[in-house]
Amino acid sequence: MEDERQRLLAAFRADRNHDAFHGLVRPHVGAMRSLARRLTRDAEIADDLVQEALIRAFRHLGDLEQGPGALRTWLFRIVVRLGLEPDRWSRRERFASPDAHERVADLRAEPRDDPVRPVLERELRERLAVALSALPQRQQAAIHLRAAEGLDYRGVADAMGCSVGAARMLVLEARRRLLDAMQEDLEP
Amino acid sequence: MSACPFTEVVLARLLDGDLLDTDLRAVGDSPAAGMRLVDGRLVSGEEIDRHAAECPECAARLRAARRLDAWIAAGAESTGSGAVGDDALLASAMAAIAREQDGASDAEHADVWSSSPTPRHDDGGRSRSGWERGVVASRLRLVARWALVAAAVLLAVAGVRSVLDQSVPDGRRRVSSDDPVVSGIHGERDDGPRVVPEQGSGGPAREEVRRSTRDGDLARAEGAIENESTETGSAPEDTAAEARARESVDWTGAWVVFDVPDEVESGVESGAGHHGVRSRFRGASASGISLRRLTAAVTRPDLAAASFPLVRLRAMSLGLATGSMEGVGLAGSPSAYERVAERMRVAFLAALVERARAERTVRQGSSASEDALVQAIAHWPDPRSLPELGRVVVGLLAVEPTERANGREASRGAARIERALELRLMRGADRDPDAVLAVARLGLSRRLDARLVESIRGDDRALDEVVSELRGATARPGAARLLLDLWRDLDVRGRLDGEAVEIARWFERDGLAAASCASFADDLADVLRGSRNAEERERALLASAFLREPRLLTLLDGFVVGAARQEALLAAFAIARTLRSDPGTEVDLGGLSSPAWPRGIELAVRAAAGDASARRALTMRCSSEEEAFVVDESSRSPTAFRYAAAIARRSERSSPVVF
Repeated sequence: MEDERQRLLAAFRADRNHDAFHGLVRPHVGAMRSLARRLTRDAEIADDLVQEALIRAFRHLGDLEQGPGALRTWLFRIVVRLGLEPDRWSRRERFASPDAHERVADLRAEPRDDPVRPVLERELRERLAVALSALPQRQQAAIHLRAAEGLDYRGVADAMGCSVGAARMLVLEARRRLLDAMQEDLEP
Repeated sequence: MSACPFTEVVLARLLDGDLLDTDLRAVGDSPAAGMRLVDGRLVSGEEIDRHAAECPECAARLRAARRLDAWIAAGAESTGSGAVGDDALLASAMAAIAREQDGASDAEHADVWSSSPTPRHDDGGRSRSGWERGVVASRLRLVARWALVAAAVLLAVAGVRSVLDQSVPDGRRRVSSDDPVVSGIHGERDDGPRVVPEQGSGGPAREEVRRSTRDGDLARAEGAIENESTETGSAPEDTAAEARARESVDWTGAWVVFDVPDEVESGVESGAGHHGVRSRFRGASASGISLRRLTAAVTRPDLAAASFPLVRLRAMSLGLATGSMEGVGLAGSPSAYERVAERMRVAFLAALVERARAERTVRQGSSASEDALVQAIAHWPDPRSLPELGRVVVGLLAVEPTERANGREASRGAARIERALELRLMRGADRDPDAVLAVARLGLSRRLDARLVESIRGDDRALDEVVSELRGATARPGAARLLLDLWRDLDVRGRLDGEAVEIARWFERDGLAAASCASFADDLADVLRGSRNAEERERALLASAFLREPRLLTLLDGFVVGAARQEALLAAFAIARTLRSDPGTEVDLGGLSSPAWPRGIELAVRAAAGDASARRALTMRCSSEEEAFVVDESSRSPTAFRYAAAIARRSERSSPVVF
């Protein structure tokens, strides 16, 4: 796998091959979208953000010095940088309500015998989303990268463009606030 | 919040893998290296591990943090649209990159991407590649650009024409049924069936007609569908057959065609992912549809209110009507809601109730269901559906046997609904008439009713609406009590001006359903038996006179015998009106009379109830001026009845009651 990614990166560096770029970034698009949604809280805007991030990535991927192993955090870093520019995204017109995407996801789900369960899950998601949205954006990004993407502190630091210590503090502070906010739900 | 100072480092170490340097290299290289500062002292990794194993507080916090991380991860997964959406987005980005490579200059790039996180790449190779493509390729691109410009002009012309067509006031405009956006936008106003093509099918669009669920209309609707599907959607004129078909079908033109249901259908069936909104938006722009109209269509406030995507509703809806996914969008649109077929409304409300019931088991959450329920109740259009409404609402509010074991949760859920309504009532009747109507129809609690009285105080129009609702609702619990409260509120604020009889007509039997009569009688009986307030009892007695409910006769009889003078007179007046309510029935006071009954009152009652001999006997004691008043009015006015009783007393000095 690593050899394949090295080959693709070399092919991209040679003539900015679209197929090579596609092969390199495709595995990370889903995670980029997830992170972008966490930052923007709007599926449509998040996709716009990711598209812009991909365009940037295409333009600068040749400059990536660390090799394909660092590609994932490098892509996250672009998304975080773009997502932390609130003016850029808040000025955009929203064509869907913030929870439209979630409604679609719920409706896509197969009908279950127990109608309560999806409701409870949705309630939980909503409360978690509210608690997350109350955090500063850097903490949101940090806890998402740690919990959802599984990055360690160094990976979070690389993606956030900060020191490891700062990343550690961002993650721990975000988690502390979330635990306090959702204490009732987290009780066994 | 955890009070243990170790909690943070425990989470960092055991959850985030925060390995200290002491774990990786020999101790002693640097005394402080790899140590963590906890509560003012440096601790090693081993000590943190030891503490985590011993401290219950840290263990609980660690469990909660693990659960939290799992939720965040699950939330990130659930918000994704899957591989299809990722591919679509990546393809879109690649197309943008290709366009940029073809059309944009390096200078433009420098302006647009000046905030790039990394230094801009000097792409000399791309320029060389452009030269290598040769002159032929450049000319082909030039031709392609001009072709695109020409196509854009043509589409713009088509768009203007479409907009002009839509502005035709007689409703005979024709919209291309092949365009899903056009179908969606004009769904609410379109008189005919809406045809929604399947997205991404590659072939002819699958036509799905939103139609009424009424059986009688279904066959006609299907006929119309066949006519519609055999013609080209862009035909310039309606055919006569189609026009007849449209006229003959009661289309539920108010179905709200929001993005959600269409998106769902297209997403499920074609795997188009959640790009449906944006894709349709872009497609519509290209075909000349007004950007403003599109934006208005997808940002309607009632779409935001429809935030209860019920899986159950979907299943129920699909079982009732083809294409009834739009039901999801009905919550915030009362006008649309009123025009939806009856069966769908029942399913919709049942789904709302189900959702609200489910919420009762949740400690916190949004009030979307309550809001939707309030709106649904307030705008329930068909009186024939009220029994159904009553059943589901009673079901919603009832404490089920399985929930009795957990009364705390159940009471909390019911309290949440009350609280939601109470908060809305505090806005005032003019600002939230829906809440006022909902409370008036539901009868959740005396406390909420008291809030209702406060919220409409001084608002005569709202008062009239509430009274109308209370008289119209089917066996609304506590309706008569609420009417008495409203009456009292007017009384104590000096707003009656001697209109007590007019207010008492709120309880007039005529126009009330049988179930409501019984419910009113129960409420009045409760007041008469339990109230320690003489004025309240008097209002209830006067109300009983207009309710004319035979079940109250025994109770009223007791008041005549043993109550104070004013109450005894009012009770006698109520008895007289009750007995008179059916002129065909012979007056029989035998069961009511007792030795304690004052004969003077009995005579007045008999006369007011229509007994001919009693009227003659009473007339003989009247002067000519008194006669008309006593004979004609004693059954209508308590004042006249009192006068009649006083006349009857003239020769009944043995009466134990002094009038």
